[in-house]
Amino acid sequence: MSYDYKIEVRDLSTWFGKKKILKEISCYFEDNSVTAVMGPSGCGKSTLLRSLNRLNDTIGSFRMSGEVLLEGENIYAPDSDVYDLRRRVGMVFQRPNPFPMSVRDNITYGPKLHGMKDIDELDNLAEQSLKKAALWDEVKDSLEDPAPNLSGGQQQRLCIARALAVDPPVLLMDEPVSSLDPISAGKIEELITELKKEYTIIMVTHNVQQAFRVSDQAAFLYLGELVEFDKTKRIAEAPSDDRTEAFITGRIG
Amino acid sequence: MSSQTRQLEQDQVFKEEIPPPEDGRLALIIRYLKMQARTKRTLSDFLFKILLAICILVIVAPFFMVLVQVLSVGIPEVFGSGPGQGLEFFGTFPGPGLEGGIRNAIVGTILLMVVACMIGIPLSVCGAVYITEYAKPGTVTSAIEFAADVMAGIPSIVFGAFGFAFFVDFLHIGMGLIAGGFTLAFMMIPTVLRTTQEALKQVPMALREASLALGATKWTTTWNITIRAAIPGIITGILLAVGRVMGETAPLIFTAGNTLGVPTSVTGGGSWVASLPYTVWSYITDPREYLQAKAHGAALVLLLMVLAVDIIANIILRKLTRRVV
Amino acid sequence: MSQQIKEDLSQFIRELRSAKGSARIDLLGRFGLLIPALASSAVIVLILTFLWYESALIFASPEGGMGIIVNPTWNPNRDLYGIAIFIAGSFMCTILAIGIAVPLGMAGALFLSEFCPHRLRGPIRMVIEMMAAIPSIVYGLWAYLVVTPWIGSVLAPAFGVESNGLSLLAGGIILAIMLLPTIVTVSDDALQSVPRTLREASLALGATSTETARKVVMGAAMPGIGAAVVLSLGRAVGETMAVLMVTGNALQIPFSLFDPTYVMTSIITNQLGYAFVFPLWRSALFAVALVLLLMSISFTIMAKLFIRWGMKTRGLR
Repeated sequence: MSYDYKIEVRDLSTWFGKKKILKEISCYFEDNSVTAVMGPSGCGKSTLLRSLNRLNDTIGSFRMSGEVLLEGENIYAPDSDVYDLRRRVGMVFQRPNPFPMSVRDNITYGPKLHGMKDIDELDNLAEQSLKKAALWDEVKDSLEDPAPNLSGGQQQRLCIARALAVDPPVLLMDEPVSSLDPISAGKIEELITELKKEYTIIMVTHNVQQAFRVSDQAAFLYLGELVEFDKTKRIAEAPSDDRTEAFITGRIG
Repeated sequence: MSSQTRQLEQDQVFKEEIPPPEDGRLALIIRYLKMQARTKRTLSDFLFKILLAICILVIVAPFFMVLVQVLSVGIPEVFGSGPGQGLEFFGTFPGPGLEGGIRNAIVGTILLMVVACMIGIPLSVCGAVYITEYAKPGTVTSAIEFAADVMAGIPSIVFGAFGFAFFVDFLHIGMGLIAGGFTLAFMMIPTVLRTTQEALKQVPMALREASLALGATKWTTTWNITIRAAIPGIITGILLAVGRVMGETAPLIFTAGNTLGVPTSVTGGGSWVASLPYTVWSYITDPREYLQAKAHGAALVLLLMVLAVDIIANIILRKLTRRVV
Repeated sequence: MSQQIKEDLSQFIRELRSAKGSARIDLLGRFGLLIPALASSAVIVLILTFLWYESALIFASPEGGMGIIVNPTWNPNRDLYGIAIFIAGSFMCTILAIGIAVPLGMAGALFLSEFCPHRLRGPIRMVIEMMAAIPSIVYGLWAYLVVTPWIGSVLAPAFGVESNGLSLLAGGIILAIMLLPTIVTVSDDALQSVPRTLREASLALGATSTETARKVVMGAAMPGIGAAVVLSLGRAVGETMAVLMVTGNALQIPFSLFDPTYVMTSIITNQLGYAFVFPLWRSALFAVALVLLLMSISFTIMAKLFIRWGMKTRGLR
């Protein structure tokens, strides 16, 4: 099937109960690019991100209208397979959340769910995923240790490896470094630039400098509205909206 | 897949096609089932949830079956108007045949609770105050906590055997109100001590410091400020413990004796005391049908008392947590 | 511990000498509280001492000795006091009850915590909490009048067995029903304390909600659930009235689910009332109580170790 953009969002509105969180948002995300979604707290950044893999569905009182097309198909269509969708759209969370099991089991959890049984294949996949997440050298001798014993930065890279293990073309990241120390955060930023070659990455961030460092295009949300959506470079040079400028210069946020 | 997702999908179905009114619901159900059976994984997801729902039904079913059994025979006894029923059931001592009620058991249970509380509450509340407010965290504190946890797990018949060996035999108190009450008091200790300790820990440090900063001694601060702030939690603990020991039969068999009247003295043969659980036990194993009916009545009274205490405790607890959060 | 008490005491006396007025009241009050604190925990020592003191006779006598624990013949008329059948009876009843209650209870807790419609959760929790409060004698009444006749007239004939219903099976069922509220509520609490973000991580990998519940949430809640199971083991062994009324109390080791059995708590309840004047008989019954006590203490310790171990290996706080 041919499609224009990896993910296209058309007139997306969402509600929690009576409260409207996102207001008629339309945007698109291209192959092999990093998009930064910025905005002050409570503007709906995370909601937008979680609408892209239908994780909001698990929260009571969630409603939505509009369309989200992944490779040309509406993921909210009644006959769409939400489990396959979530395999194709990986997610990394704000705080590292490794499962309370061994490092290896964390990685192989996803592939096993989707039917991979061969042990050698799983081991190989674990190694590949950990290498992609730049964690292999640190944990190759302790694959059977409980994952929660790793350091915070290692845990977050493990979570990235875990998401990569099911081979998703799209990777969502919800403020992936905000809970980490600067050195770990730096490592993960480097990793994101590396991963861009293979994946479409959409990253929510609170940190303007970080957004400018790693992203190709940027979206700026304010109170549920998409205020600005353009190439990062352009926004950094000359934001077209006052609110964006205010956020970038630190007056709101 | 969560119920919200399903809801969402159903909503969309509604939007797309408005089915004819008669078989609309059926079509929707069929469509829903088809959706669940789409792949092996969604099907097993669906079936697993149904299996779990059946399990919860099996778990709660005995509650209603017990209730039906106790109510069906017990209600005429407690609320009826025949001989030995209704007010007579509560107000008179056991008589011959159908006549007479269970006044001895109701009075006995209340007396036992009073004795148990008089001994058990001061011991465990003071113990909890000592370990939270005075003792430095260390071996003494953890030893007392550990002792309480172990005591909570001791079988009730072991308390009964101990009460018999210690109070009745060794201390020569003999069976009756004192021996039975003390045995129940010991059973109350772990619950009251642990809940009091929790309640005291919840009191903010700033409250104590504010009092100490005004020049109050530790002693006055503890009794006037800390305990007062923790009182709802302490009462909850006491009620939970009372609810638990009120229904105990085994500890009383060898310590409290039994009587058709009320205790007439504090020690000796006159202090033998009846109780609701003991009455249920001795009547239910009797082949005479009217005694079995009275056992149901006594069980209903006991059940109502225990559940009332339990519900009050939960209400206080809930109010309390709301206030703290 | 005694070292620390001694230190505390000497420090206390030093302080009391130097204190004045209200400070002296303060210190006296502190000492006054130490006594109930120690007394409330001394109860356990008292219980242990007395049960040991009472059962010492049988353990020391030539008729008894430690061998009574493995000796299956109980016949007070001939001064034979083997308690093995009671231990075996308790053991079998407990295994049966745990075998029913643990899978059922975990399934119930999983439903309650993960899949229960929001509106039903409160009422179901309330019913289960009320079940925990129902006195054992009331369960006994119901089991004696409803469950045992049903086993005798429906279940046993269905399996081609002759039984009056007073059986190991009846004991196991009523015990399971009494254990379930604790297992469900404690497991539900353990499941609820698993962070939401773990569930989301699993869902985001394309897991269904039951896969998430079984593989991630259950795994994370295991230490709590394990502790609930161990604690209920202790309760099962120690349960008295309901089991007494439905197991038939026959001096034999049951060979089928429909055979009657005799458990440790029942023998004490049934015989202490007339055995207390016969020293050896009485002492043997206290030996049973001592075994029960030691078992319950070890279950409590096991549950505590379980939680500590679980927290360590899972890296949870």
